[in-house]
This record gives sequence, C-alpha cells and structure tokens, in this order.
Amino acid sequence: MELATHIATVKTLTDRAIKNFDTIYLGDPTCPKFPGNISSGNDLDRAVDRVKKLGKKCYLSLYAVPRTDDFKWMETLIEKAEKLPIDGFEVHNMGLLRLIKSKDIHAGLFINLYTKQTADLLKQFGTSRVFPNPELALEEIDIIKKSVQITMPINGNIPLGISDHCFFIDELKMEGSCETLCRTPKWLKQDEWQLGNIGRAPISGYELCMAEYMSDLLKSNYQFFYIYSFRRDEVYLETASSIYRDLIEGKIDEIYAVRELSMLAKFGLCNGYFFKQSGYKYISKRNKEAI
Amino acid sequence: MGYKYCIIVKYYYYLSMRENKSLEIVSPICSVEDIKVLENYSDGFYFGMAGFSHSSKSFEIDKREIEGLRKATSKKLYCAFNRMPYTADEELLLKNIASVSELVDAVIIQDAGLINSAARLLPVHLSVGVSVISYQEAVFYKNIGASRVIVPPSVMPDEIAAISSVLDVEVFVSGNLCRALQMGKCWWDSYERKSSAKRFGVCSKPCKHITGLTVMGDDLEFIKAMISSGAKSLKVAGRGDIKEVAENCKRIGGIIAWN
Repeated sequence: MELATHIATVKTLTDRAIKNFDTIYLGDPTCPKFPGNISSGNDLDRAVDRVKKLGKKCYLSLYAVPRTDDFKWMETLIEKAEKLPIDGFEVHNMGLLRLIKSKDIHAGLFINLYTKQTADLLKQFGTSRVFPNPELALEEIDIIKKSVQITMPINGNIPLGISDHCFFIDELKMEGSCETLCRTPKWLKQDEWQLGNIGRAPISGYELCMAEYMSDLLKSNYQFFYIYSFRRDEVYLETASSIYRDLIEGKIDEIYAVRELSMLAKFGLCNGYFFKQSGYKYISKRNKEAI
Repeated sequence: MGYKYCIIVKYYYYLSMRENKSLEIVSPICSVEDIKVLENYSDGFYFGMAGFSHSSKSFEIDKREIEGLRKATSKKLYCAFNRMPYTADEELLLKNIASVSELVDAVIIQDAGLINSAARLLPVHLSVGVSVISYQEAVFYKNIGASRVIVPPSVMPDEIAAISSVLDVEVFVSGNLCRALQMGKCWWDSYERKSSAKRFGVCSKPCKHITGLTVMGDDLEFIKAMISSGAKSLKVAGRGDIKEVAENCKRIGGIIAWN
C-alpha cells in the first residue's frame, strides 16, 4: 500500500506534512507562477534531498497546460531533473511525454484519461501509472486497472478543470501579488453547492472522502492511494493521512474515520463521481443517502 | 460603380480561393435539407454520430442518414465521435467508426486512445475537447495518426502558425465559445449535475453563472486574425437555426474575400 500527495513548495515540505506519505509529487501542476512552486524548478534540489533523506519516493509534477513557449523552460527543467535522484515525473500533457528520456512517468489527472485505449497508449510512451479522470466511475476504473497501475484519489477537494489563465488576475482583475492572492482558495457559492478557485483551477467545495469504502478498494487490489491537497496546510496533511493509515491498519473504524475527516472539510464531504452521481453528493455505504 | 466592381472582384477572388481549397468553411448540419441550404456557402459539413457525439440527441444522425448525406453532396463530410465513451463502450464506438469509414472524409474524436485506433481506419480530426494548445502536443497527435486539430479559442494566431506546421488547423469563428477553462479539461458541469458534458454532450456552462467567462467569439477582428493565422479551415458553430448558420457562413465568406 502506498499513500501519495502533492507538495507545492519547499516551505510546505515539512516533516510533519509528509511523514505519513510514501510518495510525494513535488510541485503544483496548475500554475507555474505560484510562489516557490517546485514544478517551475524552485528549490528542486533541496526538495528532492529532503524527501529522499526521509526514505520516500518523489516525482516532479510538471505544469499541466503548457503553451508552445513554455516548453523551452520545461525542457531545461526536465533535463536538470533527470540528473537528480527523483523516481520520475508526473505528466499532465501529452506533448511532454517524449521529452522524458530515462525516468518513470505517472500520468496526472489533467491528462484526461477516460478510456482503456488511452491507458494502453500511455503505456507505450513509458507511463507506469495513471491518475483516472475524476469523472470516471469505479467500475470504469476497474476496467482500466487491468491495463495499468492506478493512482486512486481517496480524499480532499477535487480539481474540476484547469485553465492557462488566472481567475484572480486575468479575469477578476484582482490586485496584489500571487503570494497574497493564491495563499488560500477563493470560495464561491451557488444554490446547494460550493466550489473554490486556486488561480487556474476550480476545486470542489465538498471534499472527496472514500474512508467508508477503503476496505472495498483494498479488496479490489487498489494499492496506490492519493490525497488531494492543493493549498492545504501541514495540519490537514498530517491529520488526513494519519486517519487513513489508522483506518487501513484497523486501528479505527470507518464511522470514526468519516467523522474525523468531515471535521477537516470546510463545507462537507462527497464521493466525487465514483458512483455515477453528481460530484458534490455523498452516499453513505450504510444509509445509501446523503449525510 | 467602382465600389460594386471591387466587391464583385473580391467575391470572385474568394470563390477562386475556395476553389483552390486554401481556406475551407465548415458548417454544422443535421439533414440533407440543411445541405441544400448551405451548399453554396460551405466547403464541408460536420455532424454528430447518433449516441457518440458531443451534441444533443436531436442534432445527431445515424448511419442511414449519413448515407443520404453522401448521396446529396460531394463536399467534405466530417462525422463527430467526440463524446468520451464509457470504458465498456470503447469497442462499440470503434465499430461504429469503421461502419462509416467509406461514407465520410474524416471523423472528429476527443479521446487520445481512440484517436490512435481510429487513425488506422480513416483520417482523424482532433476535437476541440482534446485541447491542443501547443506545437509539441500537435507533434504527439501527428505521431499517433491525427491529420487535423480543432483548436480551442484561447490559442493565439502566432500559436496557430506553429501548430499548423504540424497539423492542419481548424478554428471556430462563430458560436458561443467557452473560455473559462481549457476546453475539454473541465468536469465542473458534472460536479453540479448528474450528466457529464463530456459524456452526454451538452454542457450547462456553470462557469457562466458564476464567473461570466463564457464569451462570444465571432467579432470581426477575431475572425480576421483567424483568417490570417495559417488555419486551414474555419468552423461555424450553431446547430438548430440553419438560416443563422447560412448567414454566418455568408458573412465569413465575405470577410475572407476582403482580407
């Protein structure tokens, strides 16, 4: 069993934040301008060194929606990273696949993986593990899993898409530095649902929570789990990851885990799209109704 | 008199340019009747395959109707299979593509794996939902067999020039174009409601209610920029009102003639 998450900067790459994780995706793939973003090459050596000293795996997460001009700096970054003791790259863009020469590739969620055919294609280009598109139902992911290893998201605010321009600066014309504007999500509310924006990506207001279904996932032989953590702090990362660790090791039960995880969620919990429903709903395994 | 003469000359220049197929106008159709309305203004037509396209059911057509289209026109026919299929339906989708391969000039697909498979059967155009915004992505898709890309509206003219050195480029010049997020890399709609825009075709555009980021893309300067960008094909959107589509095609033809 493996537990993974993203850490955007060296500043947030604390022992406390990552102690319960086995694999760290270094950087925030949604925006190269996010201050200190390891995805843009900031403090990459230090970040790799820190993760490796703790005996964990690390993958450099590459910017998800590069335009033609972005490939210049990204190519240089990839060349540099290939010389470091990273385990591989997380790639969200098909155009980047051929640039990676000697390291493992994990396909990130923005690569838009919906089908087994695409999983097979990605394998041909050196991808060993894929992140299914968040819209996929569990039964579809089960089919794709026959082709390639799956990174299974189990908790956190689900990214709902991506843009290559900033919601705050380019659209709302907000003033201020990225440091200030992007420190926390801006929350939006419409009728019964909430969502947030982290600059170039909207995220769900309700947090994905699969604690009730962990035993089913393990029985189905899922091994690589992931917690969404864009703009979350070390307290969240430490708490959420330790709850899942304890749950998997049988130290706590599912009801307790869900209760604890709901306390971390600003607006409440959801199951995402796993059960062929609207992404914001939560279906309890026991009650089969929203809680 | 001189002004009218100038218009006539430009019009014939425009016709000759279309004759040379240097710049193509493609428009949406749902029937043979639509072809009759648009025949004089379009070089090609696109439509959705029943059950597999990114449009609502009422605008999709089946194989028998496609046979009718083929008999009705010698112009290009582009059939959209651009819905993201359920994993269980992947083989069915490929069978359907094979079944129309003799009838259409190309298929429009969104999923990378299916593009790779379908390109062995017939020319494949990348749906706007593939969201190709760079030269390097275009190279990837060229290598797996694509021949044309329909680019999102956020792609700038100089970027189109770079992409068109690899693949033929088709650009939207009319229609309600989404610019809130990268087209195709958004599942906001199904967070709010059960049906996914990528699975069922029609997006409720939740971004519009909150951010107002959905914009019309058919202003004159935008169209002029697209014409001179190196694009091979100009795509007119707007299923439902065929007279409006015809008017748009005429207007865009006029703009081409004047540029």
